[in-house]
Amino acid sequence: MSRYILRRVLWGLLLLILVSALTFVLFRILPTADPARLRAGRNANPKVIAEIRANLGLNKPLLDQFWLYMKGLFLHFDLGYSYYSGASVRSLLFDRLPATLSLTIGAAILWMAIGLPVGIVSALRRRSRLDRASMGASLLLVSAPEYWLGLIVLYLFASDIGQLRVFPGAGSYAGLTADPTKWLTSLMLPWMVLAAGFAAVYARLMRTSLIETMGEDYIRTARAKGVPERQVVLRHGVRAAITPILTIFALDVGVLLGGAVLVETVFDIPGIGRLNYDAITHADFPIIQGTVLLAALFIIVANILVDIVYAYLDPRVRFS
Amino acid sequence: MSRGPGSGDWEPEPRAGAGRDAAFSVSAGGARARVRGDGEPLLRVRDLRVGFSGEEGTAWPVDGVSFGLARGGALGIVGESGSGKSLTALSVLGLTRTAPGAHVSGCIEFEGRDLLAVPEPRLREIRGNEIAMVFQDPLSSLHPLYRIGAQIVEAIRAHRPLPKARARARAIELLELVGIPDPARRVDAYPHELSGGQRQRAMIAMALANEPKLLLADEPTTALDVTVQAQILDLLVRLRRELSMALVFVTHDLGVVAEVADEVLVMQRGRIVERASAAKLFDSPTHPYTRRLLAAMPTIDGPPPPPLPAKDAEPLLRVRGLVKHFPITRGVIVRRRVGAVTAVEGIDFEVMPGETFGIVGESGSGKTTTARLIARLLAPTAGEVSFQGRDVAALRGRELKALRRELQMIFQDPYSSLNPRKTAGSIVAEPLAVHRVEPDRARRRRAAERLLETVGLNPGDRNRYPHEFSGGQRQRIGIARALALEPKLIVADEPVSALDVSIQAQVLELLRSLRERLGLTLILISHDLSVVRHMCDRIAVMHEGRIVELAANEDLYGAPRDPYTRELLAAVPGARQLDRRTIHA
Repeated sequence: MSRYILRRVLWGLLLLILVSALTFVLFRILPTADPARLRAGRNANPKVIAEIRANLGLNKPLLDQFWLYMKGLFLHFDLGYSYYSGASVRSLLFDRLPATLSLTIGAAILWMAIGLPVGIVSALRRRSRLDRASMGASLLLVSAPEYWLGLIVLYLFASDIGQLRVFPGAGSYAGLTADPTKWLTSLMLPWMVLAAGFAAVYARLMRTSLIETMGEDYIRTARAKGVPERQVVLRHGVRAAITPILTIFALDVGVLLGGAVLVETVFDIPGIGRLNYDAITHADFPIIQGTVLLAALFIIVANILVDIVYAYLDPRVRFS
Repeated sequence: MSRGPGSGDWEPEPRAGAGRDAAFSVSAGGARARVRGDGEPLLRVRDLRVGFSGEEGTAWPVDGVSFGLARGGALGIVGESGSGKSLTALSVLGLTRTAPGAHVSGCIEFEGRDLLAVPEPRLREIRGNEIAMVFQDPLSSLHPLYRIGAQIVEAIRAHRPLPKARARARAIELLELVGIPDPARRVDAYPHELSGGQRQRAMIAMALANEPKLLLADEPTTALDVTVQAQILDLLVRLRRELSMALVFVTHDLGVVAEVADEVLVMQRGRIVERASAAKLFDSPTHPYTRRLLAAMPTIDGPPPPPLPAKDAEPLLRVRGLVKHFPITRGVIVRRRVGAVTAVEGIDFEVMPGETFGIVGESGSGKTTTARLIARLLAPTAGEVSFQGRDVAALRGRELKALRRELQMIFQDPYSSLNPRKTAGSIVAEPLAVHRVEPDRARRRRAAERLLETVGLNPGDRNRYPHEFSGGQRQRIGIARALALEPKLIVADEPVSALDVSIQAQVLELLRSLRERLGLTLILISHDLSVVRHMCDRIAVMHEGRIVELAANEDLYGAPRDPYTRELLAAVPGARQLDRRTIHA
């Protein structure tokens, strides 16, 4: 088992190095992205550009540049400085991370808490009115774009512009340590919007997976043993049906930690996604590069976790 | 067989605090104080009907079944697929009545209570406690994510409030009773870590957890190898005696039922067509369907095929020192080879033109790997397969395609080996198009019709899809497809093991007649000694990747030399009864 984990971690590390190298190619070597020219801004003249080139070490041979870049990245987590504000990208990312973490984790708890039970009930009462209603609603939510749903929710419930002024609207985010109450209330609407689509998807996934599992021979065995139906469903059915869903869950969370761009933008939450969005509008390449690498890191870590958790949940994959 | 220390030394647990634990008091040797012979049967089923509503009305797969079973009795229910035998058993356990669209009527009286009238919670108390069930495939019937000990403990605690540690101790006892070696360690194994036979033993241990008065066994040995099957049958017979438990044994295999049941019901299309004692059924079957079933049953003492006219021709296929290893790799980033699973370990044989050559063995013996190596679906690790003097492994491109034309395969499962979206006609005609034998579409169609007719299908059915055919008909389509290119050699890998006995007999008869009519050379791979007996001129017995014995049909069955061959032959179920039948006949 420990060899298995070690192998996954080493593969992850290798992948991360490859992604870093790829971003180097994208942001330093491709002709559209001469960093010195971009850094110089609108009033660039050759002298300024040359100066910047020397400052950023861009006049050195490409391999040296790559070595410096990789060394800075992996030893010091050095991602350079924003073209726009001049701030360190590393500190920008660290500043923005708590908001994204709050948004993602809260939404994840919400969508699992809603999606899974709905899926279970739908699977057990297949073709009932309840099943049809919840699957219809989930189709609607899957199809609703986040930015549209976000605006609708703000129109309905935001305390500044809403019809029913229930929760604080856009731009009201406060840090958890700074003001816990405000943190909680300000995130209510974003959580709901982000969770809605996922809850719908997870309800469908859970339903399909459980319907398949409830047809397995071992479910019949459990009933033949005289195990109470509730236990048959939860211990035998759901336990087996949930394994593939948890792996998708870990990947989804990994992706969202790289920035829920749309929801963070609609609700003006100062997270990674918002940072990325702003950086794109300003062509602020070091920040884009930083957010890309951070997203890659989260996805790779989530992947490793999935593999390890899966091996723990399903004894059959442990030794293969 | 390894029976383990089960029988004699399985003692009741010390009665700590008596109470509910007293329910487990069992004395070895079957002297349990259960009232017997009081005239009241344990189980009485009257006019049982089970139906399912669908879009095309209600079908009644069980249509008015009545039978009784005394305490401690053993009843066999025999029938082919679709006869309603499994549904009958499941209904006794009340597992059909909650299925969507199901209608169950009639009366199932167990110890005087009508199980169809009993409410679900009360029925749950009976399931796994007074009536238990063992299913066909132990791998899919055991939960893959829980240790077998935990699954047995669950069965115990569903009916008795024992503390976990005591239930676990009881689980270990049960595993010992069913003959699982080292039960204290195996109790913590997952199902996939056990062999097929051990899994079925664990399944039986779980069914016996609460000492049921009635054990329903639904094809419990069908998924197992013949020697393992013999062990499980012995185990069931022994346990029934020791625990004085009644047994309902559902099977498609008349040989198996002869070994375990006192009395046998023969079912056909949801009805019982004959009821007789096991001995009488084999000696003097009355119903025509029973007679047909018995006649269709391939036996190891039936007549061998007529001998081939002696020809001193060159062998069509020559296999020399054939070896196949599947590598096991290990390594953190760079995977390196650390070992290999040996599937085939140096085998030699020759197949003459016009001959039917049998390869027989249990699962894991390497027989299917051999078939795949011959057909060049796998590359050998070492050794040579030469077909008409050419080394099959060296063929590439055009030459390989030519080989495919002359060497065809028939596969085991006619359900999954035919493309469901193609019609029977296009499946059969496809090889003709692929190999550009018949570029003209209309002529291809006529060829397909002829082929369908050759294998005994209606040529007019060429526009039907595989799912519209029965299993036996589908296998005929597979055979027609293999015949399309008029190959020199056909490799048939378990061609009849997915089929019912009467269908099996028809398909074998078809292969036998095609062989005579078309002069086919056939390699027939089977786990079933009686199928091979019926079909083959010479037979190779494979065991753990090697050929342990290769002999002419008569010699192999008449005077087997290798101990493993003898073991295989002895394990064939029902050998005794069938011997007697041939004497009577």
